Amino acid sequence: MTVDVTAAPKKRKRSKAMEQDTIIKKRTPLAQAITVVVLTLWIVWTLAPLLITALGSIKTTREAFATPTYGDWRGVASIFKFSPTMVHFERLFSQQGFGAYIWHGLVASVGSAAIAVTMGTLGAYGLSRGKFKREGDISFWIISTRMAPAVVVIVPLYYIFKGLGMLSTLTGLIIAYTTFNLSFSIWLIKGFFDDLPVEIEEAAFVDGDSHWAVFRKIAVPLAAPGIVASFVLCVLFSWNDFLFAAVIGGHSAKTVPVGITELRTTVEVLWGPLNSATIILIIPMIALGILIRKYLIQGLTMGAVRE
Amino acid sequence: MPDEQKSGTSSHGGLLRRVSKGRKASTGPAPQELSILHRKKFGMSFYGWILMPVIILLAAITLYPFFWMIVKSFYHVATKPGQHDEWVGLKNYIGLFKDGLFLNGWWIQLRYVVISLVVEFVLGFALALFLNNLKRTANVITTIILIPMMIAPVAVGFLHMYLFNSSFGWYHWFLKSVGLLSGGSILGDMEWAMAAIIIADVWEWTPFMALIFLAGLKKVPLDQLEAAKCDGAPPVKRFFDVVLPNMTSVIVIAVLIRFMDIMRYIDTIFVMTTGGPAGATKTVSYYLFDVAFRYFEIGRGAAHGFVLLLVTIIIAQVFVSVMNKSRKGMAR
Repeated sequence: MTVDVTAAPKKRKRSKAMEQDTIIKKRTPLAQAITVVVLTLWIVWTLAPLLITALGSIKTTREAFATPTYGDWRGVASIFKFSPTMVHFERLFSQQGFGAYIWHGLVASVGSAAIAVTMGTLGAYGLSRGKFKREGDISFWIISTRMAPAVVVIVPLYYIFKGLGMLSTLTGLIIAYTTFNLSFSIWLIKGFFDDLPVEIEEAAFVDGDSHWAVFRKIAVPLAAPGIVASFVLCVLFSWNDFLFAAVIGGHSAKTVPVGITELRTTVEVLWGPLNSATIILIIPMIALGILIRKYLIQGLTMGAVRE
Repeated sequence: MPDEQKSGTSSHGGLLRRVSKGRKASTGPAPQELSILHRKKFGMSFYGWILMPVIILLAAITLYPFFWMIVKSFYHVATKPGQHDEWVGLKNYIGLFKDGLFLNGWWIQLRYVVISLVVEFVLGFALALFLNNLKRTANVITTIILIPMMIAPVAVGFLHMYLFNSSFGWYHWFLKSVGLLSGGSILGDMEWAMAAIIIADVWEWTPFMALIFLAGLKKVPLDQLEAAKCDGAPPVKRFFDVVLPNMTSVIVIAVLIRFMDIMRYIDTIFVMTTGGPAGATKTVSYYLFDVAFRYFEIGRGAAHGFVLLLVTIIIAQVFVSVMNKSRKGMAR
């Protein structure tokens, strides 16, 4: 994965950013101070909800519900006064069946990502290197399937799957996720193939390699970081999805987001387990996101913007 | 041949042109340079053969449901066994425009989209400018800032439902302490409920805008900035005359992607308010969920979905054309 092709632009970018620093801004102490204050406030706002939830997941319900009286700013510190307990996590696994939900989520998201990225790599390479009639239309169709509102896609899928007997199955869920992951990965991976200098491949052809060998031994390894990033993003989208899982996954293929909504019953909201479940849901995805941090913006804009 | 010389700077463009030439010359034996990359087997090049199965799969899972939806939008679809679908012509579509909740849904959606976009745009741009000020710590700080983007919308919904709770929510406590909030419940209040959903959206997606803008800021040509500086343009003027025009495509992309995502997801609304109170947050996307999976009116849901899809596709068309332009512009 550590190919020269990816390392070189990074170096160039960094030095460019340095140059630019000296041109746009005058580094006055005041500007620096404002920057620090604003960014600190923003980071506090970003992390505070997560911290509150994380603390809530290891507090007893009574401790979690304790807020100071209005206007008592010093009382905020009381949020850290508690004795940690794992009772909510235990409840999730013993009573709510979250072990199975995590497994379903894993199978569905990894399965769908594997299909989407395998097929997406083939399609992207074909689309990137080949020349087809109405290529623009094909590209537009591919991306428009990704733009469709999820609710709109779910309505027909639900009834088609009902007819095929694929409701409440992991297979159905994997196919449903592939509807949005496949178009996404084709489009994103195509961008990575477009970036490769085609001379390398041409040289291999001259050496007598077949198309397939060139694709497998040269193009794919060179685009590997992008392909891995696409895979991770597909997993992220599917793991985080709620609507498809709720409608198509039904009773026997529940994933974590569906499991969470069940902690809100008509009678009460089980806030303790809910906070723990939120932590289970978000921590792996935050880790994955940071792992592919370099490609995140390119991925989420489907290649339109690069950092 | 002149074609090929023209595209000498971009090897890829050259390749494409050669292919298209190869296609035209498919009857006779193609020149050597064409046949290496694009030799045809059974009437299709290697690239065609690897693309085709993918296209077939994608068509099966997206086009089929699409046409299914169009067809069913003209039927009253049976939901009980033993009944049959009944042709009703345009009745479903006419019904849509007589449905107050549907029409009002567009208005609510519009408010949701516009307010979120404006707030995220302004905050995102400010954030990008501040992030651009950083040097050594930039990497760590941007990584912290983008954490909300990775969180499932459902989780964001519950996070905010907790924070806005009227007896133990910290946002509620904060708003009360500052004196902004007079009433009791936030998510139960017609006006505040939408505000709460927008705040959740802003919390999650402002970093996305900020990072796109930051990428745009880094690509503003230095020579232009330098020239403006030499001409004595003050920073504000430099910003509007040099920085902004260079960022148009990036801004359009950021806004359009956010627009389409707000149309795409109903998860946070589902969690935080389920469209309430009294339908105050029932956007047109959310209402479709109700029609199809609560009232089980499939025909009407299909018509509803088709209208929603048309609107999104028109906007996607704009998005792609802008994106293609920017791709040409931003090529390294």
